[in-house]
Amino acid sequence: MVGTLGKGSRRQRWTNASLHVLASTVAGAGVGAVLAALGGLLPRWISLPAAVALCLAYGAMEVGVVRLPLPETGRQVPADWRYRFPMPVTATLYGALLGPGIGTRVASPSYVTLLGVVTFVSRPVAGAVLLGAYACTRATAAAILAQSLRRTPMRAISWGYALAPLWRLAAILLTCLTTGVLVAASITRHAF
Amino acid sequence: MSETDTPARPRRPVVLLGAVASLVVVGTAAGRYPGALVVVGFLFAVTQGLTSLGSP
Repeated sequence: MVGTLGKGSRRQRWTNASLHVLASTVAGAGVGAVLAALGGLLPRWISLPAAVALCLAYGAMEVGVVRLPLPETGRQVPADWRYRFPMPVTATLYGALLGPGIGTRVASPSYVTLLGVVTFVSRPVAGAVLLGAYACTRATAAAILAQSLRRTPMRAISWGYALAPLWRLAAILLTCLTTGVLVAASITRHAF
Repeated sequence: MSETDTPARPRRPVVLLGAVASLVVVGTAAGRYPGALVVVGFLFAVTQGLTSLGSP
């Protein structure tokens, strides 16, 4: 997918990258808003404990204590889209597919924690902001990586893998903090 | 305990549990403020977005 964004002239690359980021952000924000709206239908005595339970369960998976199912298809993006559609359309479709985070492979168990927060304790606007931020960051990083692939391919490819332990540590830390904030919310009755 | 005995090192799970509990307490303290979850959630979302680059 990253290779797709790195093809063509400079103008084409920027166009494809912009469309990819835009489609990803819109799709992520849309799914975030819908999940939060659906979760809002649940009573608070169910939704808050459900969010805490997801934090604890998938936080334990992030640490390596348990193994749980992930909401993923396990597939890569469809390769044939590259040949079936013009490049700007392919970049847009890839963005829309990857934005919500569950269309291919879930990289980190902690993503389920984020989905839990969005679904169970967020208002639709907050849900849209959170998953929109996820999708925008993901697509922007991929677009920047695609540009740098042309200059330093090996360094760019290994960048994500090299920093994986750092992201894992951040995920564990933020899962713990989120659990604490949710516990506080159950006491103070804050709404998000 | 003789002079040659070395003191028992803290076991890794205990340290891990302590760190996790401390962070949960910090989160609980921060959670008194409205908007804390959105701030933590935003950081979470951004790091998760970057994490996806490390996946095959």
